[in-house]
Amino acid sequence: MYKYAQLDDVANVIGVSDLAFQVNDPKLIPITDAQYANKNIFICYYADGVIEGYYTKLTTNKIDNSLLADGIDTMTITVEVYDYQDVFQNDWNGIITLDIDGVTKDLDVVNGVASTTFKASVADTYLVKTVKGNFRNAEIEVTAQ
Amino acid sequence: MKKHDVTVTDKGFEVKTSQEYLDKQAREQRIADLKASPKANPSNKDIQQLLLDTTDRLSEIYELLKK
Repeated sequence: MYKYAQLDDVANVIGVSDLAFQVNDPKLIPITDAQYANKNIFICYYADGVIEGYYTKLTTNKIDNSLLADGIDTMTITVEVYDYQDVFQNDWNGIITLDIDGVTKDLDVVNGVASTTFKASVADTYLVKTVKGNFRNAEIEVTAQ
Repeated sequence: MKKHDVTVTDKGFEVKTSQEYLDKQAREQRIADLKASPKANPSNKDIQQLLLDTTDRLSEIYELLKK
């Protein structure tokens, strides 16, 4: 059997195929069995002859992502970069934007990781998300109470 | 109305009560104070403030109805 990743016009993977015959088409890229079985294949794109794809993971240093709404208690929010095979990218460097309620801050990611702080004096739930093109972005809710 | 404002500092994100929300709270407090203990001889400033506050409140209600 011949397994392929199907690309769209900008080389993003939009489907996978398991065919009984070989196909030569610039939008069908041969992939391995492991790539075929990997659900993360749909965050991938084809560049420089290889399939690659990344996603971000957001974590905090607080239990249940919860902090006191006193304007003093400080939460550390950490962004990590993984590839589509769930391997932490300890050599990835670049900028990833963090968005909270539409307000953004560019984080300088070094060796696959970046951190920033969050504190609030208004009790509410806030949506924190990463914004990075070509990545599957992460989002978490943090609660100030 | 936004209850809070998110700001960015060098260290990170900070959420504070929005000025709009604080202004609204102060307005409602002034109206409540006057209702609770009406002044026998209100000054022109008191009357003007009450008119401004009630107009502001009506505007807010109108905006809510429009939505």
